[in-house]
Amino acid sequence: MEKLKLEVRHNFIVIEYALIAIVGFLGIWYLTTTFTNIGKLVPNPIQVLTFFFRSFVVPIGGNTIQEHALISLGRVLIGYSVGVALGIASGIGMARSMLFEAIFKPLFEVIRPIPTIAWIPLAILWFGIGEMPKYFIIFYGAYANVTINTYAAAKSVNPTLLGAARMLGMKEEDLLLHIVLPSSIPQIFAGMQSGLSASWMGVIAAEMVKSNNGIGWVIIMGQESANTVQILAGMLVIAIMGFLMATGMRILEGRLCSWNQKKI
Amino acid sequence: MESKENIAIHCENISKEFATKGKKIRVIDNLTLNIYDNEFVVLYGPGQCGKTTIINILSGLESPSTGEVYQKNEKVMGPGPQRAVVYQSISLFPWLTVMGNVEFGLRAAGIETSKRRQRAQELIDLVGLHGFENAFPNSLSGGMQQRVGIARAYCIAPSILFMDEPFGALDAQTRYMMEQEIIRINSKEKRTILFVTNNIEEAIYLADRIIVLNNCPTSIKKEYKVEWGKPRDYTDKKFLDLREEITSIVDETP
Amino acid sequence: MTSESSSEDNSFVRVRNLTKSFGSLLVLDDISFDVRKGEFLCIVGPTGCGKTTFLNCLTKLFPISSGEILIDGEPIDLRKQNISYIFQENSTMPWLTVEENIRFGLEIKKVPKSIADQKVKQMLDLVNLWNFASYYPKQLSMSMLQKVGIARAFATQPSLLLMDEPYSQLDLNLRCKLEDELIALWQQEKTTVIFITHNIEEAVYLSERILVLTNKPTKIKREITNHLSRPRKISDPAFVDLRNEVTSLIKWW
Repeated sequence: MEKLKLEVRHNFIVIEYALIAIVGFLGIWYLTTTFTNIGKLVPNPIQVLTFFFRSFVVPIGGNTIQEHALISLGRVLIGYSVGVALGIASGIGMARSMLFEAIFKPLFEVIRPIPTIAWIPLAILWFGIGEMPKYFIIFYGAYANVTINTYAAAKSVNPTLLGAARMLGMKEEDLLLHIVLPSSIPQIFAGMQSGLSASWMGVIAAEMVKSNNGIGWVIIMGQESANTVQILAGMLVIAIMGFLMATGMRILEGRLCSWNQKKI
Repeated sequence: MESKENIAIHCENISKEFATKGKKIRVIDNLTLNIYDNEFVVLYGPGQCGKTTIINILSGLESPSTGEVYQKNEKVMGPGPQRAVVYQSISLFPWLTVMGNVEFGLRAAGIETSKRRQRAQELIDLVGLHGFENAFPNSLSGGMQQRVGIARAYCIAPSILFMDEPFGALDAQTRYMMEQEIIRINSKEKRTILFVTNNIEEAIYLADRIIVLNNCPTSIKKEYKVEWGKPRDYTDKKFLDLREEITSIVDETP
Repeated sequence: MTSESSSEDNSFVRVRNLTKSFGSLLVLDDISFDVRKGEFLCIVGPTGCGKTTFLNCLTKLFPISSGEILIDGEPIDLRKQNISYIFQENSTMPWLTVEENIRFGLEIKKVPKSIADQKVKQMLDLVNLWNFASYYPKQLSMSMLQKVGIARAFATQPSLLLMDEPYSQLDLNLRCKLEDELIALWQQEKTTVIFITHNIEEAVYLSERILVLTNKPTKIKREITNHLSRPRKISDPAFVDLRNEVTSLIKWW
């Protein structure tokens, strides 16, 4: 009970300070934009927030701001899920099959340093102007991260666990699904988290290059019409969505990987 | 009465070499031994002298460089549920609960749920962990984790149990407790046990027979039969005398 | 062999009413004891009895809830007073050789080179590491690393040496050798030592006096003076009696 009270109090303090920091930041922003020359370049927070809330009702281009957000999110979910599924399969395949590893690992090492965004021009040339290039970028961001993490995890499974499973009578072909995979989950999850960031970055970038909806498009339209308020509002949406996704991932991790943290 | 019929494990002229950095290191040299049914045999030796390698070879996890291992006249070709192992280090499956771990072997053998749950529960109760069935290993103390490992190994009804310094990471008092527990558990469910330790008190407390090993390359130095009743008293005169004798002949730990 | 408290006049370490709580959990409950200058005191208790909390209070890692700890009449101050400690986990510096590790504390205290050289040689002899002086920690076994740690601690001639289960990871045979070396070092340097352990036999082997602790909330159950003459033999009937006496006070298994 004592520990719980301490925790609640600690959380209270954290939230208190967070609120002070945010309000303070907004305050400084308002003051500098209203009373100094910075106000010529940067709109004040009230303008941004007004625009932001108004866009829930007044559409930008063909959609309201929440519709744009959901469009971007929808794209991410599709590309991301495929990327994660194939990433886990590839990672495990590379770790446990020497042939697979010999063929794919060198390719991976060469391609790895190329950032996701650099693939956008090629994706557009290959897949045309529609939705496909966006899905490709989103997919690639997730796939690369998840594969690498899965590979590392599957390759470093504790050999004692494998030995114990064999000793207890598990057949060789069952080891992959029942020992390698569960033991790799924490690290796969880390890959999924960085993959989600990469996918999200990818969709925004792709929408900025060639799209007619989505949050990335909102931002680039803001730039083309010199509407700084719109740009900042778009960025605010990205911040909120990113925060919500990260929180969601953390909760999911708590459920999936509770066995991993040392409790004693 | 020792005869060919009740030999649980037999190995002859076992040796093991490892090649590192171009050099060949002989870890085990010319090891021949018999373990008889229902015996509690302790392998005792200094430091890192290859005791774990012996367990790995006898249980089938590793193959010897020369020589062969037989379990009841059948050659040992790999690890399996007839040769259960309790490990020193972390070996529980962290994503499974206590029940999940203990019933693992029966599940792999295809035993149906209610039967295997019942058997697993018996063993969880036997090792003193009643009530912890749904706990994950990360919330258990070292001693409790070792108990789960023991229950898990017993659960597959092995004909021989290997225990590789299972109490090595525990503090002195918890160790005394676990040694008492092993005697109690084994009196309820008698098994053939080969127990490895570098702790002389533990060896004399537990063993029907102590095999004292040499340093690398490992071979048998001497054997002692301990035909006293159990449980034993660490400060009994005959206990202390035997301890002194074995300590005087054993090699220095490097 | 029964309770005897040291006279307040030659108490070097004085602990009075030491109490430590974590929230509403009382761990250490009004602990008071003295340690004479140059005494070898062992503290034993049942598993989980707050020995580590006690040590952390001594080394100021935790602030104490109430009570006081005095070293030579002054409140304990790790910077001013010369206090060393050795733990279970080894803390030799991997980038220094054995000899440089032992020399380390002496250099910090700016001990003149000729005196430091002599001290280092003496320590190397006492722990039988003379042949390994220029080896790096990476090349040594665990027991040798512990020897280095102990030699390094003694080299600076601390006024108080705190040891927390330094040998618990080692083989029983090795422990006996290291314990003998420890006693030799202690007799030579006449350091005040507080040695904490789970191992009752070890406490009886090393100590001049034993403090037996209770379970949480931890109090002192008994103070026992150890009159056994050195070198001690674990099979000696008097040794066995003392060991059994301490065991009966602690036994929970």
